[in-house]
Amino acid sequence: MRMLPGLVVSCIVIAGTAAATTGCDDTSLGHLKDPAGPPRLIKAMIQDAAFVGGPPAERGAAVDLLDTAPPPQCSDTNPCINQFLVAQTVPPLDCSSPTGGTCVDPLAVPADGVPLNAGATAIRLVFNKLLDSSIETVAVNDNGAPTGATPYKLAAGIVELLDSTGTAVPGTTAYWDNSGSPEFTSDVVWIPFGPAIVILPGNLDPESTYTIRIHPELLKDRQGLAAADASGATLVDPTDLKFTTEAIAPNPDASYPDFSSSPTTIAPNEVLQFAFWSLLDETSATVTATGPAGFDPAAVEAYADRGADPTACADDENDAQLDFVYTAGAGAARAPADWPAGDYTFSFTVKDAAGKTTFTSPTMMFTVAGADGDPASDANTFDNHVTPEQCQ
Amino acid sequence: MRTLARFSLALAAALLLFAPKAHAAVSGSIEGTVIDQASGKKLGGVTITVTSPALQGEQTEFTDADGHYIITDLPPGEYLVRFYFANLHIERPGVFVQADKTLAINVAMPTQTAQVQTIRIVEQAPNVDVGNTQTQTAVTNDFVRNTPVQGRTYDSIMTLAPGAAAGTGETGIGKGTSVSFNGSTGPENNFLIDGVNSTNPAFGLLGTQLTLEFVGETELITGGYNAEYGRATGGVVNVITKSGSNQFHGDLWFNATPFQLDGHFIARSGEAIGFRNHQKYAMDFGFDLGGPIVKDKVWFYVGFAPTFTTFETTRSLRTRTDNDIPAGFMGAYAGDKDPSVTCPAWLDKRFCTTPGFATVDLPDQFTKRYQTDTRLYNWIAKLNFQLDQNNALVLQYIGSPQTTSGILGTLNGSEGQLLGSTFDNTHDALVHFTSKLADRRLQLDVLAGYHYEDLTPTPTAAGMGPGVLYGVNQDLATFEPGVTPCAPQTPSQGATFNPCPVLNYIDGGFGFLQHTTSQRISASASATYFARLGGTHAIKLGFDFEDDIYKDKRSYTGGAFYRVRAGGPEIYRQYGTKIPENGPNGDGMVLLDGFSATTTTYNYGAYLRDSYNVGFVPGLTLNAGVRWEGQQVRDINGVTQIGIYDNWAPRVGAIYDFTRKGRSKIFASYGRFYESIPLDINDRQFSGEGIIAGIGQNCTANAQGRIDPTTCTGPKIGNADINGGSFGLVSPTLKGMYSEEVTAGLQFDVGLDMVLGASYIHRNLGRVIEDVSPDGGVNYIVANPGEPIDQGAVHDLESKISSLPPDPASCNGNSGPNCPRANAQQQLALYKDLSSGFAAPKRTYDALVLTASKRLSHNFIVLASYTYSRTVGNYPGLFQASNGQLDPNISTQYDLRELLVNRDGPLPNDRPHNLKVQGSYFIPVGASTFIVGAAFNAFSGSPIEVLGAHPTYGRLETYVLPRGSGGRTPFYTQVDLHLGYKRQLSSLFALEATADVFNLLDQQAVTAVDAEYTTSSVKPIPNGTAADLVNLKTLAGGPPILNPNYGRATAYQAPLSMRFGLRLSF
Repeated sequence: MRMLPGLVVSCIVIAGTAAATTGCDDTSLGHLKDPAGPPRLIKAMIQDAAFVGGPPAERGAAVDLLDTAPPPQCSDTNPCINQFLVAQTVPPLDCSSPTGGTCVDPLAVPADGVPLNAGATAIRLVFNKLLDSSIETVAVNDNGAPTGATPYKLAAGIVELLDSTGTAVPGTTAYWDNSGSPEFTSDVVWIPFGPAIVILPGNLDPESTYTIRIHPELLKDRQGLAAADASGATLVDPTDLKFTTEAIAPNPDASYPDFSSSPTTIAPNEVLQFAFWSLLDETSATVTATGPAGFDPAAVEAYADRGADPTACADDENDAQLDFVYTAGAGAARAPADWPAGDYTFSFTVKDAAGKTTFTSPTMMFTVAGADGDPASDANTFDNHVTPEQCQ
Repeated sequence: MRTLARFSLALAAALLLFAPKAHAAVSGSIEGTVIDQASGKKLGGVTITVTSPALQGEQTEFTDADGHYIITDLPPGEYLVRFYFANLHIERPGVFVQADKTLAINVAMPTQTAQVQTIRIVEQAPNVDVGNTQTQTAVTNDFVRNTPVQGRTYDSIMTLAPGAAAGTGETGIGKGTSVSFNGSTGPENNFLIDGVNSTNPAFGLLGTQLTLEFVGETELITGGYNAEYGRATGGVVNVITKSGSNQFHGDLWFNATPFQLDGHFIARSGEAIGFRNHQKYAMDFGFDLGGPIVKDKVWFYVGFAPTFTTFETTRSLRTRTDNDIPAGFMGAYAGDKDPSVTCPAWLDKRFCTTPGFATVDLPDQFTKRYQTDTRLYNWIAKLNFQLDQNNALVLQYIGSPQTTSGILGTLNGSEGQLLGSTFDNTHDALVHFTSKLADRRLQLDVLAGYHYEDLTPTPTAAGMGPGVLYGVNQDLATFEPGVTPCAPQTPSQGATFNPCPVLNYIDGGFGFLQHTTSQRISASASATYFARLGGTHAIKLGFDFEDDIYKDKRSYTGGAFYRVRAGGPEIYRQYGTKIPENGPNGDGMVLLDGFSATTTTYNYGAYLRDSYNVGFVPGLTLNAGVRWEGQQVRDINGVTQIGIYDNWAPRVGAIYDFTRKGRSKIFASYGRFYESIPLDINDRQFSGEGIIAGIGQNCTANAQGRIDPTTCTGPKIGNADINGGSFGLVSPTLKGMYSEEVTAGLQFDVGLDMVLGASYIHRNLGRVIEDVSPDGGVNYIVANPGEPIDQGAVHDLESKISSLPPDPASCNGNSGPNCPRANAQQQLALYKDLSSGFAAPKRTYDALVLTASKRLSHNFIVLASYTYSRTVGNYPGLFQASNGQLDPNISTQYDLRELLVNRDGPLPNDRPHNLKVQGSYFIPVGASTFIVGAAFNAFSGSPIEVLGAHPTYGRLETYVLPRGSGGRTPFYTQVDLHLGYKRQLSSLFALEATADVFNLLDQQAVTAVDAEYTTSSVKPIPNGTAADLVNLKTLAGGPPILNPNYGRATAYQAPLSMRFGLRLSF
């Protein structure tokens, strides 16, 4: 706090005339100063790149690679609390034991790997204070406002994202997010920690190891101090942070039908839809199915969802969702058809987009019954999920 | 009936209690020492009498063995003091007593020249208050009548005090001017009328508008207040109304403000709808009459004063131009940028990255003019009884109902939501009894009061349907198809173009409707005992009590309110509650007719104070006191939700009169001042108010896309969808909000009744009460953010949990109405986490104040001050100027941790330079007097914020840059003029004509600017500067939508106006 009686006295002396005196009314008085010392890398978040009110879908996934502290202690009289939501969802508040256990650390990296979000995962390297904004160049118009589709360009060589072979992950972009609180947020996905270097990988493959390579000499604060680790120790150049992603994970909330309910029934003209948190290779899908008389397993076609508009397949293609439709005909004449009514067993396998790992579903059962769904009100009919052959 | 019963009980309690003065002083005192002129010895047994037209009868005292005397309970006025000793008689005329002040009248008697029978002291009487350390400004009736005072009610003179200014962003809240005293916010003040608290109980703002015609004197106490005063962390405004006298006196008056120049046109850059305001006319008239019913025994005072004001608002339309679309341009076209729009002088160029749009004014046929009429009716009836020399009684009733009809909504909307009327029915009553006992060594003072406000809004017939808010860049023609130049989607060179954009538009009905009734029943009693022990002690003991009641019925016209998001569904809002907690189906209930709650608060206060005139150090007075306050904030069931019983407020001060003639003082004081929590928190946190927000479904729209909310078949609202609806949690260690103050200074009477002063004031907030959410907005707890966690309270909560049986299985580990163990666990978890991330509140005010005051004598009167001050911190007070939120103690600021980023800096009421000079000069010419008065005000602008939207809290909640980073609004100056001509028509009658010119130079300075830098949801740039804005991104990583209107004026200084008046006095 710079407010001192001396300042007041000085100003009144200066203020011979009130209106003429302007030096004592600056509006920076009381502003806080940046934390002392070098900029510290305090979090390395891997989380949904989702934002409020728009795509991509929020999984509510967020982990901090630097969160190595033991989980908080808890008991019946020392209940757990979380300071933030994760995509508007309250993280678990369970205590492992009422007589003395540990809380669930919502940002701890799960043992089965870093959760993914189907090509919409962000890596946020969070610092405890602002870095020098010269790390990013901004294309501006004559008035100084950012202009163009991609006005921001992070200086080359500051951070890299490498796959297990040491090759840069293709399609990766990065930018400098100079906003946010480094310590506190009410929602770690909607209002992510910052200031941060944000890396947006083109895609992260499941069950793969990646390296975030940081060149701290290029990361300096406004006083010119180079980046340090969370304890303040100087980071070596380069500093690598490694992480391994989870296996292909289903996204049941976006799948159809809900196989957890029994019996599971669909209309004859509906499509089976299985969503995942990884991008898939639709051509690798295999199906094993049994059905009523007249059912031909070979007539089941698997494909990445392409939406309802045959003219917009390219834009709408969702490689994180695999659709299964019953078809009739062959070749160019192959077209969706009603499933024969009756009971089915169904399982499938599919590989991730890179073809490295395979997902094998359990065997599921469903029943086809009733009349066709109305495409106007039933989003699951094959009219609303065009096949590749139907795309124009 | 319930109210009357309470009032009777409170009055009885006050009358029965033997207790001391707890309310504001409505009288002053004279004290002094009488010595023998030759020997210097103190003279005992001297008889002192005081008489005044303001005093019923006369008051008599005797000097004690040390030659000291004190005469208290003197109504403000001019006094003649007489000293009698043997055959000597000394007269001291022209002693001007003011409320809450003590004047020292010392006399040296020439006992050895006893042949002189009568001596009249011609030397001017002292004017310095040597009795206390309060920082106060007395505004007398002489001053109000003879200098340019723009308003006609007493709130308009509040800014005359040094360190006082209209609260930044507080225009339009409350009934009158919302004033910041010494860096505080408007809701932190206390407004007293003849000692009775008339502050609005729910929000802490001015409760009663009272014409200045009925006011004899107003004390503006801005700091260092004595232990009698409490429940304010800002200032105390103490109004003393006129009384009758032994002579019949009265006035008839008429004032008219026939015109005001037009104000500036105000519109967002490129926005189709703009407006300008001006006062079309104003007038007030009335009479007052006071006189004796029984001379020296019973006086009356009555008056009636209506005040009519009409504002005219002109809504004009304009279109963006589209004559410069590049050839082949495709897509949506916003309009031409206007190269003539330059960055405002007060803004850093880096804030001006979005120049304004070129516009063309539409012809007058599309202009609409609205009148807003306000009718304030003031009346007063007062009786003063001097029961005998030692006992007096005052009965008073004031009515101040007000009607308003005209604009109540926004100009960006339909007339259904725009127009309506309100009836504000406000009344105050008091009974005041004083008595002197025990050979006049003991003075009793008993006061009972009642304050009532009822505010009823009434929409027009067109406003009875549901309101619909269309947010974000609407097309005016959608709603007003008759405005043909705004025809939507005008094709032009392949581009689509919206010539008449409006940021938002409220269609349909009136929307939010709130009927409130506020009441306060107050009682106080005090006793002052005068004793001698090493000097003279005036020991006061006091008690006071308030029962505050607030009834609030809120609803939405048409049963619901709708909001349409850009490209999204309609959002439906309705009230609901979970109180009684189980509701009809265990979840709560939807309230289709709105929500109603009645809540109460009990306030208690007591104090002990000794004013010690140190006998062995002549001229030295020590004041030491302590005030205790307790508060019970009660829910709709009458259960105390917040109980604070440890508000101990020490007050100490020292005054030294180095002239020992009552003409000087050096003083210093320290005090702690507690807030009285307004009832808004009861009403919002402890009423069970819940909101249901859902999605309206299958709503039909007309050809322009305008939806008809009544056609929505949804939303699918369930009782489980109620947001809130149950009582908020309270920290187990909650303590009162307070500020502390240190003052020091000196005053010196330089002659001609001119008192010069200089003082230093330091004030800081010690603690605040706010609702906070330690768990990201899931649960909220009313707490003292920044205070350390009390391990004892933690232990108590742990013990409570251990003592509770397991919850029913249906709780499933979650808190809920029937889950006391989980509830206790939740309270413990939230309480423990309060220590993390909620920065301690800071508000520091430092000021150096120079003053000059001169009462009316020698043909002139002056009140002048210069204040240099800085108000810095992270917590502005009980009003949040950044988002206009008036929810004392439950603002959004502390709700979420990330909202605190960048809140440090100059606070909204930081106006470093503040110069005020106001006075008048009288020129007698025969039986006539010419009066020339003037006022000059100059003060710094207020800091400009750089604000953005928060993803869940909405617009204006994110401090993109630290406070004040946008600079400061322009310096403000104003010159006013007063001319008067007064002629004594006869020995009984005088006629006066006046003319006032306000804002003589028509300086329409910018007084407020648009502080919304971006409408996008963004995060704060911690400790950032303007240079960092170019890197600011939305949460999705893209450029934010910048507000082209950022930093541009949203309000201007009122234009030049003139007022003419006539007054017949007798």
